[in-house]
Amino acid sequence: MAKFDIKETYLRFLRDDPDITMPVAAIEALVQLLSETETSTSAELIQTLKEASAELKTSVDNSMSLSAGCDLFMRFVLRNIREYGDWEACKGHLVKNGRLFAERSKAARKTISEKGLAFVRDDDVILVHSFSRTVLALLEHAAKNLVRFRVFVTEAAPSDQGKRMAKALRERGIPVSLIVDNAVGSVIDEVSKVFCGAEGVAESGGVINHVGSYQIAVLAKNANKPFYVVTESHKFVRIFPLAQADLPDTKKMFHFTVEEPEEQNADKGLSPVVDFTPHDYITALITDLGVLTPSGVSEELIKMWYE
Amino acid sequence: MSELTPAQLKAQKKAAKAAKRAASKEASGQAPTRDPREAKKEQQQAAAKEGGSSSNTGNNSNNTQGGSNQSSASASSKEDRTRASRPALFGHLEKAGKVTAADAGKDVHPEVITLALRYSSYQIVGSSDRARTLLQAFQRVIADYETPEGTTLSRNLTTHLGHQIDFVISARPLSVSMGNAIRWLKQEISVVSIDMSDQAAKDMLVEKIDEYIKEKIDVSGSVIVESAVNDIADGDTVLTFAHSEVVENTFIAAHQAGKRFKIIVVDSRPLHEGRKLARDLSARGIECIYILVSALAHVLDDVSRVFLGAHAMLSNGALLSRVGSALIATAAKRKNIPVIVLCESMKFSDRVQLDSVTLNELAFPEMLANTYISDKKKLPEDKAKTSLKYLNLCYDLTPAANLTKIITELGHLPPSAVPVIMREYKSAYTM
Repeated sequence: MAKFDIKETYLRFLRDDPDITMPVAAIEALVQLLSETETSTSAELIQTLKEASAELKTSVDNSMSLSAGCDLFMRFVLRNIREYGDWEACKGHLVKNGRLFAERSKAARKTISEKGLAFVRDDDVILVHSFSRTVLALLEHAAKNLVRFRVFVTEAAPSDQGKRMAKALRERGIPVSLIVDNAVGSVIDEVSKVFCGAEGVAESGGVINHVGSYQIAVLAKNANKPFYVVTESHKFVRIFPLAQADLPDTKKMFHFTVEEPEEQNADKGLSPVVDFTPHDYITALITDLGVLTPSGVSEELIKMWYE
Repeated sequence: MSELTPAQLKAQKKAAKAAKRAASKEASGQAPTRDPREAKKEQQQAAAKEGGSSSNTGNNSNNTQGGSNQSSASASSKEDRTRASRPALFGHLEKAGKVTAADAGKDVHPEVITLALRYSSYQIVGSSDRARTLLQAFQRVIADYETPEGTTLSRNLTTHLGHQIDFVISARPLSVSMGNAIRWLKQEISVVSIDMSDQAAKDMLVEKIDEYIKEKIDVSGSVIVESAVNDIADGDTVLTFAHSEVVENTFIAAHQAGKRFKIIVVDSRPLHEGRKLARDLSARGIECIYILVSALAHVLDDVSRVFLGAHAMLSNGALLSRVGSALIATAAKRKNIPVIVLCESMKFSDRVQLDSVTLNELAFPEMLANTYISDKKKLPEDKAKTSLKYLNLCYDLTPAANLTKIITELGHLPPSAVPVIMREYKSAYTM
């Protein structure tokens, strides 16, 4: 049997289904691995899963979010393995429930839009940073409920994901003004609230998100505007970054030189993909578990992991 | 520590009663039913006179000739005197007493006496160490215990332990970790089956204590060390205050893992606990700087992390630690330096405290009088002859806002997770 390529499977899941999030794709890839690999003992299975998770985490750039999925699935497996005496039944159960888990995670977005509806009001001017499926789902749901609001969307350079967001919102009949990232300070006084998604939510309630979120959060705090993070609870990760330097990729930027690079825009490549917004700047997290304060995240994580 | 209050109340009542009795004996002719406060005041005056005339020992020195009955009376008068010598507002605080073996009742185990004296003289400090040594002493107490006629172990042993605990408290107030351990042990004793033979029950309890020490102190400590090492990176300058066992072990582990970092040990009078840390770390070849807390501002610019040990974590996420920690945390917060607390969940308390005054511990005031530099700089120790008052607080409170994270054996958590852990693990604590 050819060696199962966990990274390729993961990327395929992401490609095939644009609605899928990274942690869910990771879980689906691991379930796929589980159903395709022959393992005879639980120790072997755990070992296989551990290796695959480690491989995924190291081979994919920006692995914060998918590691949430890997850890969650690992936790789920370890808890279930103990409960089953019969090995085959156990494996069947894992595969079946792993799928169910992925399904449920996808359904989370609907719950979030319902719980977050009250946060979008008539005449609101909402600032959105970059592209986020959860924010899109929430705003779409609000528009369907005949809430009239306008949206500032940042471009989110260098990935330009904001353009994608603006297009998607306009298609759904929501009036959008696309601004450059540098203009956030100029419009912040006119904004009534800020929404952003998350790649991962840390133990402290701080979020790892598309680069630029942190500076927007600081501006929002300074202008006393609420900063809401809209995210699924499966993105909660058991990590606790203390500073930006604790995230991968941040070190690349500290490359100072007097040489003008030959290639244009070469400096852009040094920009990190994500940044960390500490919990002090976040008003609330709108999740499928309800609307949480940042400290509620660690509470949910403790419940999730130790029950 | 709600568990301790009844015991403390009892002790207080006892002392008040004894004081009343002694006072009424002295001033015979007065009506026996007087206001106890009045009686106390009189007692205090009498005691002050006594203190003035006797010149051989300090005011705090203990009256050793008295039997146990008398000594409790003199203890209360001593209490009144020290109270008068403290600054107002701190009169209610628990304080370490100077005890001697003669103060112990007949039920107090020799092991406990030795231990209490070592607590009292600050030979054993640090809440993990104190909890561990207390439990180990209790193992001896339990092993040597024999149930008297007409009662059962599950009823009588708790009372017997109560005598030991009272003596320990008289030497120095209990730490939160000790309170938690005692609460757990009493719970364990109360569920011992009546059908079990005494020997079997004793063996079981001794074994359970071993497990508790292993699980809650030793293993928890090493789990914390293992994960805290990840928070030290190459090139870091880590600042720490006084001495904490887990913090020291973390530095050692990080050093052994080959990380290159620098430690700044901040220390303060009068205990100078940081000296042990600085000595131990530098002996292992870790680059160390030793400063006193007054020089904090000069080193803070280079610091990338602050690691603090804990006396206790309170339910509102506040840290109770060696006096001076709050200062460090506040200064670090101002400079945006992450403050990390290493704390076993055994030190979590369900108490909520908003300041350092409500509940604290007073150490011996004369510790502040002597500078060890020159006798000329010595402050007067005899409180009867001076209007100078000393305030030697043991702990202070750092609000949750000044802490970045708590590393426990259960993971890296924000301070707000302390009550969650207490709630989710309620069953584990009262097992």
